[in-house]
Parts: sequence; structure tokens; C-alpha cells
Amino acid sequence: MGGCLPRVGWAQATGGAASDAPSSLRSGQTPGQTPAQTPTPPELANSLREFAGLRVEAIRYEGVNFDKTDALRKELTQRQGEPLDPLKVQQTTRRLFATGRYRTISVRAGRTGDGVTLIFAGVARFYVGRVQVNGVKTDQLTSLLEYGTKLDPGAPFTNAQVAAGTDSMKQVLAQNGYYEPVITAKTERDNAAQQVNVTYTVALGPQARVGAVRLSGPNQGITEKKFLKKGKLKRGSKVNRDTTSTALSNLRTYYQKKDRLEATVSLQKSTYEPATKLLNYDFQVEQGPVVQVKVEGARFSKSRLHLLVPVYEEGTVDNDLVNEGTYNMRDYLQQQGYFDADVQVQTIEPPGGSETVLYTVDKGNKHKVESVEILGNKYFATDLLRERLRVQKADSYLRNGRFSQALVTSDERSIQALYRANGFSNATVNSDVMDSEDMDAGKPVKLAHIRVIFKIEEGTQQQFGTVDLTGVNPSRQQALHDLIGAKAGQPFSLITLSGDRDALLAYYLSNGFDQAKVEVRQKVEAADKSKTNVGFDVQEGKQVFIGKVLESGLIHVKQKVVDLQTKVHPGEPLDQSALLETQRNLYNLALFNEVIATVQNPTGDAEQKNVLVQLTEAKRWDVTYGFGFEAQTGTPGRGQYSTQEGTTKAQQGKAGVSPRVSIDVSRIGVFGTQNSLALHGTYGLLEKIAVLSFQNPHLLGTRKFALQVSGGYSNVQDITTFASSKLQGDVRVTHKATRKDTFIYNFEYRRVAVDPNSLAISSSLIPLLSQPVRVGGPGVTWFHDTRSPSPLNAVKGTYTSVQGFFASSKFGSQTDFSRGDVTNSSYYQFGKGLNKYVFARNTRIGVIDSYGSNPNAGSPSCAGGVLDLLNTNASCNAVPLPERLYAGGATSHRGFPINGAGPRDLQTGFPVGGSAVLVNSFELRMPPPTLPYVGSSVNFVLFHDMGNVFQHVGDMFPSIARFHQPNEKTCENLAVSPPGAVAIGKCDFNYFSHAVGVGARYNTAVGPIRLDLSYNLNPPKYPVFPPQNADGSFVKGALPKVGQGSHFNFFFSIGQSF
Amino acid sequence: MSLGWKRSGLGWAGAVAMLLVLVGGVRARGQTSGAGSQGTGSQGAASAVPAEETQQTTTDGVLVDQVIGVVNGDLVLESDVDEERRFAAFQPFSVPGGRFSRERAIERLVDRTLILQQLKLQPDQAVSTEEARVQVAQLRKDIPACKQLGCETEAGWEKFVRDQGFTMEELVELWRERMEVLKFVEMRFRAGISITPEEIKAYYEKTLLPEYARQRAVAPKLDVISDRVQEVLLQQQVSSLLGDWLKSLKAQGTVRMARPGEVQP
Repeated sequence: MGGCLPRVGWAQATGGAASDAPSSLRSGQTPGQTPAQTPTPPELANSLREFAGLRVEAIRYEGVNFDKTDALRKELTQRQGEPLDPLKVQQTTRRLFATGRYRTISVRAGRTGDGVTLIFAGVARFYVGRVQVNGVKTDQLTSLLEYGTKLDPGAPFTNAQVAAGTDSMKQVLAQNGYYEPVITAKTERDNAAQQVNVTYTVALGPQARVGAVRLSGPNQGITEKKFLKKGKLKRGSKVNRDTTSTALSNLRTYYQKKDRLEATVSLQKSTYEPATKLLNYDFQVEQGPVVQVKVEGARFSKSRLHLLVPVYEEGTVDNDLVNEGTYNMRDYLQQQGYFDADVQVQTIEPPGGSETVLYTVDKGNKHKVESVEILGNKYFATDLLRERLRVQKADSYLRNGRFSQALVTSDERSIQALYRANGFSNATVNSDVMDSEDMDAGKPVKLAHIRVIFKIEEGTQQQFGTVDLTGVNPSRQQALHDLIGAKAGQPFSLITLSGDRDALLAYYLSNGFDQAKVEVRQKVEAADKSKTNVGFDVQEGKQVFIGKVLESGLIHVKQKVVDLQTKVHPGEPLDQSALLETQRNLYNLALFNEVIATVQNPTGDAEQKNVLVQLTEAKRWDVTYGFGFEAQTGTPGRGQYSTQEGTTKAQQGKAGVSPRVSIDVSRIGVFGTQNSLALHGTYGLLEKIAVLSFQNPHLLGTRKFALQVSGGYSNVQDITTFASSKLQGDVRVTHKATRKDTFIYNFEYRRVAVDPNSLAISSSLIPLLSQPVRVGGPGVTWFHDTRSPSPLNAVKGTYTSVQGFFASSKFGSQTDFSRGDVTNSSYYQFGKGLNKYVFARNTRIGVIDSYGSNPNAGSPSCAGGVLDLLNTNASCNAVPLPERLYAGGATSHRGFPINGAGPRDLQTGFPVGGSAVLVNSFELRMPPPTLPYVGSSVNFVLFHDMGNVFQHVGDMFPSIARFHQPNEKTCENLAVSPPGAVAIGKCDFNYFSHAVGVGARYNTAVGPIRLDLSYNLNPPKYPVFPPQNADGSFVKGALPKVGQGSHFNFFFSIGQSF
Repeated sequence: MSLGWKRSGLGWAGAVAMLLVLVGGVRARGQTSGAGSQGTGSQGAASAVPAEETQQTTTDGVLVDQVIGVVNGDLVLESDVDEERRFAAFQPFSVPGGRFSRERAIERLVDRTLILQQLKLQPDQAVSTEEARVQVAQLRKDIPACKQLGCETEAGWEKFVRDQGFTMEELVELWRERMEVLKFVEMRFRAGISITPEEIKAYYEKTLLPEYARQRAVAPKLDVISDRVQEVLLQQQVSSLLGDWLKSLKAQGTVRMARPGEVQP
């Protein structure tokens, strides 16, 4: 080995082969310096070849150790006991380095007689561990900075990355207006985990403010003052990351309005002055020529033109954008039925600097697609094929249909592709287009009709021949074979093959083979052309196992809580999906702000890798507050009866808005577990609520049971008749039995009281019915939910809830009754293509059975006699007012205001609830039409609600057939007999009230915003007697009147009605 | 790229030769790791905090191989440089001035590793062992040093190969892979180049005629020499495109060289 070879300078030899900035900077070199410009290590005095052929007595590894069980050792080609082969030593060195665990590696050889000892010496690589940014208050900026460090946990670590991270963070901060940050970086080595944790501490310093703004450019077309105003660049205002983009966007809009569509505004530079903390801007401004867009041959609104011609949006005039405008116009006109529309464009630049983009439109005749037929299909149903067609027949939503020759051709190909993917390799699809315009040649037609017929010749379908699986380890052969859906003799399908390939890959990924490849081959069998032989050629790659699971970041949360959710364990195959599931599970605990679950040394070719699970605990205390409102008819008002004697408006409530504010204080991670404590408070005109609850989502560590203990106070007026307050305590266990079934077992006590000042019933009953009552007992609820795709937007499936509650003196209750409430909804979808309708139904049946004597029996308003008031005056019901059954409102019978259905007090006319409820709703949810501004995000519904609340359970079913109140005239009898007696009417509410209506749903991310308008076909009539003086006369000389529920109601809320 | 064609003024034969040099011994680097871009820490001692702590190697034995550089995760080893030195004997045009340069060899190894990495992505440039044997047989006749050592006999040729530290199989395999690289480069760059008659004429008038005049020789006519000029221009362009391509590969990837005296690369 020659040791005195001439040393030629690297730069001399490299010529232009310089490495540019990215790699150079990463390696700590200055830009422009080539890697090779650095002098290389001196030549070695000894070479491997000197030891060739000697027996390798021993192989040692220094610096980086491998477990004896590590499968890597088997892959190393130079073995102990064999002669030293320089080539094998080279291969071994490379293989070791490829594990990613070495920063560098060298080979030493020690001669021992006729043998040699090989030492692979290396310096172990460290990896990026936890990366934290402290000192920044806003989470958003902290996240930006963490991302800005470009330090990826698990990736190989070098110290240069720390400094580079600091520089990147400074850039991020400058973009956010912070030009004088002080960033200190601290690294902490974790030898056991082979990683380095990096903590940046940031002192933001002052936020820059807008300073001087200088404009340059010969033809600005704007004064500096106006520029500052339009660009919102007020001197002294704080600079943030949106300052520049807002200015540029606003100024572009300004110039667009002035037809300066080619105006350019660009920020040349921004200079920060540390002394004044001001950021000075230099903008280059050029207003460009006036560009007008004109259209001849068709008329478009200004807003439509802006949508169709992208020149407006992009702020520049070039051929591509101008031509895109022609396509957009043609498409739009075709949507309007002008299928033959032709659009030409030219740009006119007369002397003087202005420019005109002129679109010349020849709309042609208006057409309507009369029919689209599909013939010859046997294997696929017509509906399935029709769903794939882009050519559409005219209907109420697409008034002229959709047609163009290009769409017809595209549909032909699409159908043919579908057939061929399913083994019909000779399938052909042709089309006939019949245009009445062509047929009536010479005669002018106002609206031409088009018929399209797709003719399919399916041919014969291929079948799967042999199905091979190659390249698979025999131990996995059977498991993988079972995953393959393609079987000999079955109809050929590319979709099946694709699904099989995915299934095989998924198997490998979940078993640590992240480099596995599966290739599918297919060949028509030579002997039998109807069969296609397929094969899955697998390259398994290496199976990687988990070394250690390196968890970090737990402060308050208990380890066992995390362990329960962790699906990756040492020694198991490295399953990427388990890693993702671990991350998802940990996020679902809602205890962590950030969960990083990743692999250490991701690019290394190692048999064993560590897994990082880095957790950042969320703040344990959280306070949120909000404001909300509901708008509807029948909003209850307080004390209306006493101030508006004798009117019939109060009983209906009023159309209005009921605002409220809310506050939620929560403490998560109670006892270091998933337990949480929450205080919810609402204060509004109609409700005041304060509830404290403790939740344990995994009772006794189980996944299916959850415990909630809650208690609090509520004061709610959701009916015009009274305001009730409730002091309650509740223990409930939720059992998620199956994906579809949930049971809730609860035991609750509540002390319900009615505010006597709000109570609008017979005055003699007020002392009785306003008495606080303790209600207590067990309850059980069952939910069965098969709605899909989601509860908010169900198109099929059913939803059932069955609720039972038993209030009994045996449990300390002061009143005895049992209540059952069953709700069932079902959803059916019909229609084709985009025009799919959903028919939804909801039925509710509720009953209350009370036991023992009626406490109201002694009241004059409930006294016996011929009227049998105890049974006919619903106010006399033995069940406390707040515990009765009610109906009416946005999520119930929409022919009534909220809780306004059912029997009423026979003196005041206010609704008082009953012992039975039966309400049925039908709703036809129509597909969304395309509307201006909102597009297809609004859809409409038609609904019919019927039903009522009944005083007695037995009244419920006989009432179904009654459209009018029985003996309706008696409700209009306002005579007081005998004169001077307590005025009590006679009125029967046992009938079915029907309402029809229309609603609109505007779909948003939080569910549909809903507006329903209803018309009650048969609202109830009822007598209203003003309060009486002691002598029986009415106060203030008011007169009795006949009230009637309102025909019209509206409701505005969020979510579907059911 | 250190093709050095223009500087050395070797003419077309020189240009072809330098391109061949680039695709010299390749076997060892054919085993790319796919380990990604693990840096070798060329940022020096200050950046090697974690590594310094774990450096506990003994000094048993003698150092027989070390890392020279890391090209996108693939190692260039001292043993590769040694192989390059030995392989130079089979490439008569590979050593300008007849002296082996370690630094140039390292540079070639880096470039070649980059090309091999690209070749792996388009594995359709296979060359058979038989094709390689044919070329090696031809090579045997073209090596001047070999002629002096009696390479015309089978025994003399085998001794020559053995003296360079190769077995015959190793040499054929190295040559085969060298041919694959050459084929890849030719396919990639040569197909898209066309040389116009005007360019040939311009080269003849502005370069060749002055050179012949300087050497006081009679220049052949353009018609006679135009094919050779075209080949020269083709190689010039191939070299230029190859150089630019390698430059961009280096910029896109990570090439780190070990430094002398550095504890670790």
C-alpha cells in the first residue's frame, strides 16, 4: 500500500461540483463550500487485504452494542471462524452502518498467530428526543415555533440542528412581529434512551409596530394616505403575521374595483429599527392598465362574471386565465341548457394603455335532456350505472339536465372501465344522441330536446383461474392465504384484487414489515381464455421488532392510565397501526395536549427499533364561557297572567329570543386519572342552572362502564304556565353494551318547587301545586342507535330510547308515580343519483301512573260535583307539575309552542301537562338544490306532526281518530254558574292536533342550523277566566274569553328535529 | 465533476476515457444501505456532545478500514479507495500523468455512489457477465503495462490481475457493473443530444485548426474528420450534462466527508 501518493487539492479537482446551501448548511459548512473541499482523513498505514485469508478468531463490537438475540448478527457476512474476506468485511461494515445506529465506524484488526481478531468500532448515534419551547404564552405561537425548530423526534441528532432550530425560530418570530427575541437552547442527553432532549426558552421581547411605509413605482395610482388606509397599515399598530398579507390582499381588492386587474403590489423589504421598535416597509406599486372584461352575446351578473373569469381572482391577465374564463362560461351556459354554447375570447389593447378582454358568446339553442337510457346491461343494475353518469336527465333540481359530447364520451369510458374492471374484457359501450333540433332542421325551436341512449355489449365475463401467493414465509402462508378474496372460478374483478393486495399489505404492516411490497400479476390462461390466472408476488422485507417503548412527559397523570391505552410493547413486531392507535387512544383520554408516537431511527435498516411516546399534559383547569339564544314562538314570559288579565296572548307565550350566558369550569385528571370534575352554569331569562358533576369514564377500569355523580340547582321556565326550580342529586352508571346499545342506570333525588308567583293556574290550586316536593327513585334508560352515516345526518337506520323512572316513598320520595317514555325514529332513503330523499319518522309515547290519594282533591278547583273536576281539570293531576309529561316545540310537536300541547287549566287557559303523550312526526328531507351564495349547503324539509298530551293514559289511543276537540262548543261556554261561583270552564283536550310545515337546514360543521315554519290545522280552543274578586266578579272588570292556540309557529335552532 | 477534459486537452479519446474513469470499480458501493441521510457529524467537536461521551473504543489491533465520506447514507470507505487504486491498472486512460491521486479517487467514488443510487431507481440497465468478459478480453490487449508483463499468455494475464489484488471473477464483476453505470449515463444524456453541422464546423475552425497550427501539423479536411469531431462534441456535452446533474444530486442530497483528525465523521 503506497503511502506517499501525491495529494492534490480537492478544490482543484472538484471543478464545479460544489454542493449548494441545503446540505452544506446542515453539515455546518459555509454556503458554497463543497463537502469534498474539506481535507480527507490520511491514508491508513495498513489495509484489510494484508489480513485476507487469516482465520477470524473473534469479532468484537465496540461503541455500539447489539443484543445477542438481535437478528442483525445473522445478516453479517463476515463470520467468526471463517477466513477473513476483505469484501465480506466491507459488506459487514456497510450493513452495520446501515442500521442507523452509528455516527461513524472503523475496522481494526489484531493479529494473533495465524488468526486475526476483528473489531468493528463505532460511535453510537443519538436521536432527537423531546423538543420543548418554553416562555411563549400563546399555544398557537408555541406550536409554530416547535414546528419551526425542524427537529423531528426520533430522527438522528446533531448539535448543528439545535443552532439551526434557533435560527428558524427567529424567522418564525420575525414573521409574527418579534424582532428582538432572546432564545436559549439547552440540550440534555439521555444515554439509556440514546436521545437528546432539546429545550428552547424564548423571551419574545417587544412586538414591532408599523413604522414608515414607503411606496415606489412610476404609476401607483393611489396616494400614500389611501394606501395606508386600504392596507390597514396604521402607524404604531402592532405587526403580526397577517399584517403584510392583509395589506396586499386589501390593496388588490382596491385596484380590482378600479378595473386595474393587472395591478401589482409587492413588499420589497421590511426593515426593523431596534431603537424605535418600528418596522418600516418598502412597497413596489404599479397600478397597470385599465382592464375591462366585456361579454357579447350573453348577459352575466357582475358577481357571476367575477366567478367565471379568473382574471379577477388572480389579478393578472394572461392567456391561461383568459382561456379558463371561456371554459367556465361554456360550462356555466351548458348548465343553463345551452349545450352547444361557443365562447371565443380576444384581448384588445388599443393605444392609450387600457386593455379589454372581450368574450364573444354564441349560446345556441337551449336544450333539455329529455331522457338518458341505458340498454344492454345485465350484470350491473341500471341504477348503479346511472349513478356513475355525468350526463343527467332534466328534473326539478337540474332544470335542463346536463349534457355535452365530452360528457357522453366520458360516460362511455367510465361504464366500459367498470365492466373491464370486473372481467368483461370485451365490453363495449356506444351511445346515440338524438337532438330534436337536428330532427326539426330548418324550423326554429325555442327549446330543443335531447335523448341519450347508452348501448352496452357486455360480452363474456372472465373468471379467476389459479390464484398464487409467492414470496411468503411458510409460517405465514396460511394466514395470508385466508385473507385473499380472489378464488378460482369466481368472477374476475380488479376491485377484488386491489382489496386483496391492500389486505396483504395491511397484514404485513401490522406485523412489523414496513418495507413489504405486494405486486399483482394477471394473465389470461392460454388453454381457457375465459380464465385469468392471478398471482400475488410478495417481497416481505425485514421484520422489525420494538426494542424499548420510551415514554416521557407524565407529570400528574398516572402511568397505569397511559399503559391501558398503549398498544405497542417491547419485543412485539413494530406495528405502525398499533402506534397510530396508541396515539389516538391517548388523545381520546383528553388529558394530553400533544401526543407524539413515532419510531426512533426511522430510516435505519435495523432489526430492532425503539418507539417514542412523548406526552404533553393538558392544563388541568379549564374555564370556558359562552353566549347563546333560541328564537321561537311560545317563548314563556313571567308573570304574564297577573298583568294581562283576561287576554289570551299570555297562554301562547310570545315570539321572541331567549338569550343566555354560560360558564363551564372543569378540572381534568382528578387523582391522576381520567376522572374529571365539572361545574356548569347557565344564566338566562328562562333558565338558571348550576350543576357540579364528577365523571369517571372507565368505572373500575372497564371500558364499557362509566360513572357520573352530579348535583346542583336549576331554575327553568320552559313552559308559559310556571317556572320551576330543582335541587337534585344523581348517580348514574352508563353501560355501553354494544356499539348500538347503551344502558343508563341511575338513582336520583330531586326537590322540585314551582315559583308561586309564576304559576298561572287556578288560584286555589297555587298553594298546593307550588309546594316543594321531593321526588326520588331509580331509573333506567336504553338507547338503541343504528343511524348512519351519523346521528345528525341519518339517512337510514333507527333510533330507540326507552326510559323508565320510579318515584316511590320506599326510596324517600314524597310522591309516588312511575313514568315510561319511549321514542322511536326511523330513516329511509330513496331516489337516485344526486336526487336522494330521506323519509324520517319519529314516534313518542309516554305514560305516567301515579299511586295513592290525590293531594289536590280538597281544592275548590278540583271539587267533585257534576263537573267531576278532579278528573276533568288537568290542573288537578296528582303528579307534581314539573314531573308531568309535556309536548310541543322544535324537537317535539311543531304545531305548538315549547311544551304548549295538551290539556290546559280550566280557569287560566295555561297548559298544565298530562299523564300521557303521543306524538308522531313525519319528515321528508329533500336533496339540496344549488342556490346562489350558499351553493348546495341548504336543504329543505316538509313535515307533518300530530299528537297531543292527555290528562289520562286511557284518553291517548281513542283520541287518535279525533280531529276536533270532543264537545268543542263547551270550551266556548264562558258562563259562570251559579253567578258569583268560582269560574271554571269545561273543555276536553282529548284529540289529535295536526300540523304541517316546511323547514330549511343549513349545514355547518357543528350540525344543521334549522328553521321550521308550521301551520297547526286544528289548534285547541280553551276558556280563559280572569282572576276573580271575593264576590265572584272579575278583577278590573275584565271579561272571560275564548282562547285558541296559534295556527302559525316558527322555530330556529341547531340540529335536526329528530 | 473532475472530468478535466477541457483542461487536459486530451481530445475526444481523452473525454471518453475520463467518462470511463468515473464508472470504474463499483462493486462495493453497489450495496447501498437505504439508511437515509444520517449525517456523519462534520460539524466538528463542538457538535459531537453526545457522541464524545460514548467513545470508548480500545486501541487493540491496527486500523484497517475507516469512513471517508457518507453519500446519502452510503459509505465511502478507505477500502474503496484502495480498490480504486488497484483497479486503476485496468484503465490505461484513467490516471492523468500516470500518477494515482487519492483525492481524485475519493471524488470519483462520491460521484459514482451518487450515480449508483440513481441507477437503483431505474434498474433496467442490466449488462450480462458474458458481455463484461468480452470487454475484459479486449482490455487485456489494451493495457500497455500488461503487454510488458506477458499478458498475451493466460498465465501472464492471470498474474497481472492477481498482482492488482483481484480474482478474475472480481475483475469481471467490477467491469460488468462499470459497464452498467456507463450504459446508464449514456442512455440518460446521450440520447437527447444532437450536434449540428454548424457546431462541427465551428469546432473545427476555432479549436482544431489553431491547435494543428500551433503544433505545425497539417490539419485533415473537415469532411474527413467531421465524424470524430461530432463524437468529441457529443462527449463534451455528455460530460457537461453529467457534471451539472451530479452537482444537483449533491445539492439535493447529503454528502459529508470525514475530516482528518476528527474523532468521528
